[in-house]
Amino acid sequence: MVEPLTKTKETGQVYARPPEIEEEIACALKLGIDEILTRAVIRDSRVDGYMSSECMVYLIRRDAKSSTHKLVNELTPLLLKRCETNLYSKVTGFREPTLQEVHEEILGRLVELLVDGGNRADYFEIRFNDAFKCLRCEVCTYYQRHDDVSGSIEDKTDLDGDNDGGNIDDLHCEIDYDKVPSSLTQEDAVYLKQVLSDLTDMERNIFILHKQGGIPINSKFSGVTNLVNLLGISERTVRNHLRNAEAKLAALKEADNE
Amino acid sequence: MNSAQHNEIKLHDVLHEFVMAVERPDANSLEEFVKKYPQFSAELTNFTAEWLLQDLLSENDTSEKNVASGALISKAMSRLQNKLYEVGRTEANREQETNSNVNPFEGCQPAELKKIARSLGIDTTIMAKLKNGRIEGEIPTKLCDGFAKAFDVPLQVIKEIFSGPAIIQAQASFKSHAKPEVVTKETFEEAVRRSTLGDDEKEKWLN
Repeated sequence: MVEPLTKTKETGQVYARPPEIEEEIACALKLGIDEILTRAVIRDSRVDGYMSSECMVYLIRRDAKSSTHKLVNELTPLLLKRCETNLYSKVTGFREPTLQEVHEEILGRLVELLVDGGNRADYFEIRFNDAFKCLRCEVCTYYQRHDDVSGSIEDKTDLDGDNDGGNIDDLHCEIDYDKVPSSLTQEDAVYLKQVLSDLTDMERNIFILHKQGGIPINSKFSGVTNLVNLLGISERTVRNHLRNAEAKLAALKEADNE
Repeated sequence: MNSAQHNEIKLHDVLHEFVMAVERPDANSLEEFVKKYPQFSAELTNFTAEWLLQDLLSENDTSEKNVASGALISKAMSRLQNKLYEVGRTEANREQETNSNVNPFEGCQPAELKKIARSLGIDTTIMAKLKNGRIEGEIPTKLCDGFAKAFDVPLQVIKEIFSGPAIIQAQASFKSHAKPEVVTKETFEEAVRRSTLGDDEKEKWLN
C-alpha cells in the first residue's frame, strides 16, 4: 500500500501526489531491487521502464525507515546523478571554491531531507523538479547572502550620497514609473553569466528582478509591487544599484568587442 | 522546536507553495505572495531573483557540461550516512525514553529500590510483588502516590504497572521444564502479612 503524504497546505488540506505517480509507486512496490535499479538508471523519460524521480524518492524514504537501507544506499546515488546534471547548468554565479560548496550543499540538504523521517521531503514526491528548484534557489540565496558582504539584500545602505559610484545624470530626467522592461536577450544572458560573480547581491537581484522579472522600480500607484517597496530602499538607491550592474555588464561587452 | 526553527520550516513551506503555484515568477505573482506572507517579503524577493536568474541562464545555456564528478555524489552519500546514523540514534534514545517512562522500576538500582521501599514503609518483598504485578485487588492510594512521587512519574503509570500482567523473574525460568506461569496472585493484605515488616508497620497498613 502506498503511504499517503502528511504535509498540509496553508488551508490544512493534505498534499496529494498526482494519480500517475501514485500508480507508478504502487507498481514499483511490486518490483525487486534489481529491477528498480535497472529502471532508475534510465534517464530518458521517453524510454520504456523509466522511473520518475518522485517514485525514486518514495522508495528511498520508505527504505530509510527499514533497518537494511539497501535501497537507500543503491538508489540514492542514481537520483543524485540526475540532480547533478541539473546543478551544473542551473547553479552559476559563484566563484570557485564557493560554487563547489553550493553544489555540495544542495545535494547534501537533499539527501538529509530524504532520510530525516519528517515530512519536509513530501514535496519531492509531488513534483520533484519544482521541489528541487526550490531547494536550489534556497541554498543559492543563502550563499549569496553570506558570500557577498558588500551588497547584501539586508544591506539597506542608501547609495544616494557620494558613494553611489555611478552616473547620476539621468536621475533628473523624467521617470517612467510603471515601465515594465522587456526580458533580457540571449546575448545579455551570456554576458550576465560571466559578470555575475562581480555583482553585489543587491545589484544582481535588482538587475534580475527589474530586467527579467519585469518588476518596476517604483510606481505612482500605491499597492503596485515595485522594487522600492519590496527592498525597502529609496528609488535613487535602486536606480544606482541598477546602473552599477548595467555598467559592469557594458564594460564586459565593450572589452569583448575590442 | 524553537521559534527560529519553526520560522525556517514555515518559510520552506511558503517557498514550496510559491514554486508549485507559479510557473514563472513575475511582479503579480510575487506581489500575491508578499501580500499573503508579508513576514517573508525579503526572502520571497531574494528567492524570486534567484529563480529568474537560474531560469534565464539555463534557457540560454548551450555549453556542454562536463559532469563526471563522483566526488560530489560521494560527499552527499557521506552526509546521508551521517543523517541515517543521527536519526537512528535519536529513535533509539526515544524508544529508551518511552520504555523507561512505561516502567520506572526498570533500570533502577536495587539499593535505590530498597531505599524507596523503606521510605514508603514497606519491605522489598512487597515492592517486588507490586512491581511484578503479583498483587491483586486494591492497593492503598497513599502507597501508589508515594511511588509516583519517588519516581517522578504520573500516578497513572504506577497504577498501570501494579495492575498489569504478572511478571516472572527471568532468573527463575531455568528451573522449569515448561514456560512458568503465575498461578496465584495475592491481595495487598496477604502480602503485608507475609512480609518481613514488623508488627507495628504491618498494623499500620492493615488498618
